Amino acid sequence: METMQQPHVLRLTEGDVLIKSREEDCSRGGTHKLGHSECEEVNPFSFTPQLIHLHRDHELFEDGDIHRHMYLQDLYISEADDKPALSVSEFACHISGCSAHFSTLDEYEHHYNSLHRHVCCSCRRSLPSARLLDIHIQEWHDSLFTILAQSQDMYQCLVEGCGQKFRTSKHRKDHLIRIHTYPPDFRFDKSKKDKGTREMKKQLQKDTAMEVADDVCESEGVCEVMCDVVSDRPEQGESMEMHVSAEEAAPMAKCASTGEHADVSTAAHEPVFTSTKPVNPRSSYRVPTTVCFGHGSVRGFRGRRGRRK
Amino acid sequence: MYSSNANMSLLMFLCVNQNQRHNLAVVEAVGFTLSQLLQAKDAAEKIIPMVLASSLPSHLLSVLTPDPNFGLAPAIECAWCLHYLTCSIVDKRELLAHGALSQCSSLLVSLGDAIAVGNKEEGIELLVCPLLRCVGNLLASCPVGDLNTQVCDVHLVVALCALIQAYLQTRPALARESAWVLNNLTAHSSDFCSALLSFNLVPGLIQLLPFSQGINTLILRVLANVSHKKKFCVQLGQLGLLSALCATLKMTDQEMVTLSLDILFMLVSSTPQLAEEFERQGGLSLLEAIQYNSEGEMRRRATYLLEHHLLFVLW
Repeated sequence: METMQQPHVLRLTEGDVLIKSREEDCSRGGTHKLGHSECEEVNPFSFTPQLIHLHRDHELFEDGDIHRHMYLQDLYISEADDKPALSVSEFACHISGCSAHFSTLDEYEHHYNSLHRHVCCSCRRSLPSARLLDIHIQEWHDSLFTILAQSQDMYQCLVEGCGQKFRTSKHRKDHLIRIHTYPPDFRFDKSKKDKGTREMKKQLQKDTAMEVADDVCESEGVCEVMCDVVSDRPEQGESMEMHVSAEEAAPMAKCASTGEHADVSTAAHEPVFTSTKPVNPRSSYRVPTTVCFGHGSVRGFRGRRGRRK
Repeated sequence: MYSSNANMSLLMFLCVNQNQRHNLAVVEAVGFTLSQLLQAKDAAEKIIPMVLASSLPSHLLSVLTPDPNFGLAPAIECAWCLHYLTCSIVDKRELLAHGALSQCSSLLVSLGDAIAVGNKEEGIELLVCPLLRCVGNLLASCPVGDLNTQVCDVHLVVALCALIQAYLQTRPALARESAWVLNNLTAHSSDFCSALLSFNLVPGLIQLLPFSQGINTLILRVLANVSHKKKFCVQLGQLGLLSALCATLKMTDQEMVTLSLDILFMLVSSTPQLAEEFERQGGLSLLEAIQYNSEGEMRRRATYLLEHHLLFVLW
C-alpha cells in the first residue's frame, strides 16, 4: 500500500541454468540485422519458463493490499458490490485505415455505428443515419435526381417524419431554420448550382473526406453531437450541448419564438419571417463556429486549421 | 518506538501463547502487531533477522490451520506475517526447512477444494490472498529438485485453477495472483504440467485468454511452460490451443502477441501436424500481418515461423 509507485521487481532466481532473462535475449537479437540471410540462421525464439519472484510492493499485489487495508479498517465487504469490471483485452477496429482501439464491445459498437455503418460508397463520406445517407446519395450521386430536381420539388427535409420536399436545398435550409428551429449558422448543404466548378469541388470533397476520416477517429464526440442534431433525435448528453448554447445565445430566442408562432398560425406570421430572417443569420450563433455538419460540409472541428488563427 | 526489547517481549509472548493456544483472540492481535512490525522501515535490517532466528516461523505456521471454533482471523494474521517474511528475504532455505511451502500449499489445497464445492465462507479469500503470496514466492526460490518433496500434492494445480475460476469475476486480483503461482509451479516441473493435462484443466485455462488485467499474460505463460516440455505439445494442440492462439495473435498487447508466437513456435516445431493444423485454421494470414508490425522482435519471429515451419506446408 504505502509504496505503490515502486517499479516492479521481477527477480529471477540465480544459478538456474534454464533461466535467461528476456532483456538478454533482446539485446542479443538486437545485434542482428533484419536481413533474410540473418533471419535464417538466428532462431529468434527464446522462451524459457521463468520463476517470477514478486517484491512486497509489486503492482500485482496492489489490489490485494488494498483489500487487506480495507479489512484492517473494518471497511471490508466480502462480496464486492462494485464489481471491478473484468474487461476484455483491447482490440482494434478492423476497418482498414482506421486506427481506433477499444476495450469494450460497447465502445466498438458505438464507434462502428457512428463512423462505419452509413458510409457512402462513392465518396467515402460517413453519415450519421441511414436516412441521411439515402438523402446524400440521391442528391450527390444520383443523376436521375438531378434531372427531376429541375422540374419538381426533390429536396427532402432532413428531419425524419416531416415529409416536406423543396425545390432547392436553399429552400430546405430556410424551412429547417424556420420550422425546425435549426440554428441559422448550421452548416447546411453547399449549393450545387455552379456546375462549372463541379469537377474542382469533387476533388476538394475527396480531400476533405480523407481529412474527416482521420479527424473523426480521434474525436468521436464531435460526431455524436452532429448525429443527433441532424437526425433531430433528442438524446441526453449530446442534445444538451445544443440547448445550453441555445440559452446562451440571446438573440436566438427571438427567432425560436417566432418559429413556434409559425407552427401555430403559419399564414399570419409568414411575412414577419421574411423580414426578420435576413437580419438574423450571421448575428446569432447556436452552434459553435467550429462545429459543422450537413450536406457539402466537412464533419469535424473545422476551426482548428485556418479559421482560428 | 519499536525497540528491540519490546520486540523480544512480543515474540516471547506469542511463543508462550502458542503453547497454550487457548486464547486465539490474543494470537490474532499479536499476529497483527507482528505483521505491522514486519512492514516497518527498518524491518529488513533489524526485525526480520531476529524473527528468523527465533522459533517464531514454526509458531506462525502452526497457527495457520484454521480453528473451526474461532474462525479464520488468527490464521489470516499469521499468513500475512509469513508473506511479509517471504517476500523480504532472499535466502528462503530456512523457511523451506520449516516446511513453510508444504504447509501453506496443503492449506491452499484444502481451501481450494472447499471453494470448488461452493463453500463461500465469509472472508475465506482473506486467508487465500496471503497464502497464495507465500506459496508463489517460496516456489520462486525452491530448488527444482526439492519441489516434489516440498509440494507433495499435485492437487495444488486443481486448487489454483478452482481459485482462478471462483474469483475471476469478483476478485480479479486474486485470480491473477493464483495464475502467477500456477506459473511458478509449472515453470520447471513437468509433473505439475502433466497434472494440468491429466486433470483436464487446460481447456479452462484457454478460456481465460480473452481476459485482460494481466490474467491472460500469466495464463499464456503457464501454457508456454507446458508447451516448453515438448512431450505435451500434441495434447495441447488437441485441446484447441491453436485456435486460441489465432485469437491472441490479433490482440494489441505486445506481450500477448510475443508469448503467443513463442508458444506457436514450440507447438509447430514439435510436430508438423500442428503446423498443418495451424495453417488450416487460417493462421498464415495472421503471421503475415504481424510481419508488418512496428516491433522488430515480433516481425522477426513471424518471419522465422513462416519461413521455417509453415510455408513448406504449402509446397
